[in-house]
Amino acid sequence: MERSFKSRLLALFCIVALCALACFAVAGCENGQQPPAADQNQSQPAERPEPAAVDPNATRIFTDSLGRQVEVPVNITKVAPSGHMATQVLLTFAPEKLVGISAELDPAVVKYIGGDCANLPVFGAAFGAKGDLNKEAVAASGAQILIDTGERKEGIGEDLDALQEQLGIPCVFIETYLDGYGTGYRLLGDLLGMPERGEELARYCENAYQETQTVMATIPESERANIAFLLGDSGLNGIAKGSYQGQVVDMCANNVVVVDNPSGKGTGNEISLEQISVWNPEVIVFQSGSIYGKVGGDPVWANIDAVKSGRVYEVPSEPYCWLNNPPSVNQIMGVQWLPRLLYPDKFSTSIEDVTRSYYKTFYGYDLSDAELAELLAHAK
Amino acid sequence: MADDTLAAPAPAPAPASARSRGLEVARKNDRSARLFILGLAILMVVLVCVSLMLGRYPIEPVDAFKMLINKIIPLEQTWGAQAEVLFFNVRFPRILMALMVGACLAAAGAAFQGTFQNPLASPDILGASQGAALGAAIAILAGASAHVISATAFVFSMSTIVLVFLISSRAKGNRIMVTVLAGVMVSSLFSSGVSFTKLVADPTDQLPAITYWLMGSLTSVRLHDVAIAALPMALGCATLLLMRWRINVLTMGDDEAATMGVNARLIRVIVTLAATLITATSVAVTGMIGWVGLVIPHLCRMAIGCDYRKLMPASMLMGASFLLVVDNVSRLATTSEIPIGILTAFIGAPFFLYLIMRNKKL
Repeated sequence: MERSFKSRLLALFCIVALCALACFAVAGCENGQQPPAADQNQSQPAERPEPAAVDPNATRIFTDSLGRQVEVPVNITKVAPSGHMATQVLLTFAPEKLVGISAELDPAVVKYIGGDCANLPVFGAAFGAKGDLNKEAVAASGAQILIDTGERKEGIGEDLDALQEQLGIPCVFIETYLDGYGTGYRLLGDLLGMPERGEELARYCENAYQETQTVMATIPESERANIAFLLGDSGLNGIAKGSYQGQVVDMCANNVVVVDNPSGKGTGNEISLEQISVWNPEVIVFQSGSIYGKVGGDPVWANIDAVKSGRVYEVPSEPYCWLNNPPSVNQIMGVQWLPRLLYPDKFSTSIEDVTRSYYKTFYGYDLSDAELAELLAHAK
Repeated sequence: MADDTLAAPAPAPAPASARSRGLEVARKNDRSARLFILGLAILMVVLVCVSLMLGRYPIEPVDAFKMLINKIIPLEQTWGAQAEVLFFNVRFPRILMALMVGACLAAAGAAFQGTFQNPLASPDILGASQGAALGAAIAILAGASAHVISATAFVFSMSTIVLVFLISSRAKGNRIMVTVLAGVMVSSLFSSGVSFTKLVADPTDQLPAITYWLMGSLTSVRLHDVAIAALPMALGCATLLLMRWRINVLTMGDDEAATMGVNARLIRVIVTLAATLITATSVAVTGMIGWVGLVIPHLCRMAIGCDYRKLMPASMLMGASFLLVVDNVSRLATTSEIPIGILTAFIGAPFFLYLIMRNKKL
């Protein structure tokens, strides 16, 4: 009895001690955090700890895509991306200024663009499915600014304000969308002091988009190809008409995947094979990793018009899928590829030339004949 | 009941008449239970017939049956080639699979509720589903094909149960309690494992694939999937059906079982393995479909009582019909599919709550 009472007392003591320790730890953290935060609030215009070391005086007011007025350093050399899309856009624009990336780079990305960036610290993504941005890692990297790109989502302004307060460095939003990459790249050029690079990429995006739009204006809806863009390991997920992921497909063809609730996610909507047979598309484009190579030998797929006539393709996916996944500036490649695939007579330039110029302009990569042939192997 | 008849001659007439009244009631219950099971069987056949006629691809209802008969007696072909291919490769296997998975999950749930004497037991109480989920998630991370993902899920699911048995055989204390606790702990450990794989997964393709897998779906079921799943499912279900009287004995406790000459530990292991086999197969083929295994046995219990000799076949039939109906909604309601795991709860839970409130006895 005596013994067990003693051991209980000991256990109780341990618990109390642990609790006390936890309290001290939390209090300690708060103490450690408070002064810079308070400092931040008081001396907002004057200086921030990190950028101050690089360029103490030269700051300016930058207006981002949301109309937020943010004070940023004039000379920016260290940039942190907010997530995967921002990493991707910045890799095309100024990889040398990145001090971190959102996730380990895919081998294909390393090959084409990110060679020097492969060893950068991984920050995670501030928004999106995981929201795992490591704020201390961002701070430790010495980044002068955090850049977010992509579509304008509800509440993004407040989220960036909050993030800015936590990180102590300016956070800006550059809106990018299919027919607005020109604006986005020019804004990025202005922000990072690289107006020529911004202009070069902006021109390319605008010309590519404009060319396709001009061609599509000459093709009435009734003459456009009936197409399905399918993915997943059974090919039973479709990118629906009107979805955020399907912009390029919708622009260049009649997307037969019409559903009540188009999903904006990269997995699209799940569709049954009976429904695909009802739609009976003339052309099917599969995402890589789906069943492109298997449909010919499958009796159910073999009865669909696209498979019967051999108009089944696999969209190239290196370094990024040309049509979506993510729906970012890689879509500018898709905007040029898909209409050339469907209406080859309407264009004066070949898909080979266009692919070479895109990879050169955006990734600084000279495609060899073999690489080009491999990219387009199932896409012509 | 056998004991009653043995002790019968001694007592006075009054208790005897009470006894005969008791037997009368038991016989009545027995008859109504048989009728209930027969009704469920007829309902299932009707539902299958209706389901065969429904689909997104227009196939004439008459043609659906003609095509089936045509397999045995050649008929004049009044249907298109694509209709036949779709019917036999997409619609028919999917209906079969819905029946099989529904029956298996309900049977496994009933078996676990009996063996662990726990009304909250469901097919995943020992971690079979979480084990399968972890296996599938790891396979998806490794970039495996669909069949490898299913196989890995199955192997992980079965290994989870072996692990739980190993742990509980080394622990002291109430055998049932220890096994369930070990199951719950291993299950939560594996579920953290799944969360971790989601964390390290590539957010553009692997993460959505894992999330999708976890939701469960019958969309991509083909004939060869049915063929592969049929053997373990038949094996497990047959074992449970043969064991159903012994599960009754298990529900009374180990000591009572021993007095009736039943080795409770052995029976429990066999029943658990059989139930896990069918759960693992179901989860491996279709992903996680919750709710069916927990609630269908209770619905049957409300109707016909706790006798596992009746409860087991009734649960199988009702589970099969229920999942078939839910899958019909999933494939017919909209042009895109609605994940079945979400629907089972949406359709089933309110119905179950209504029954609880109406019928106080559970």
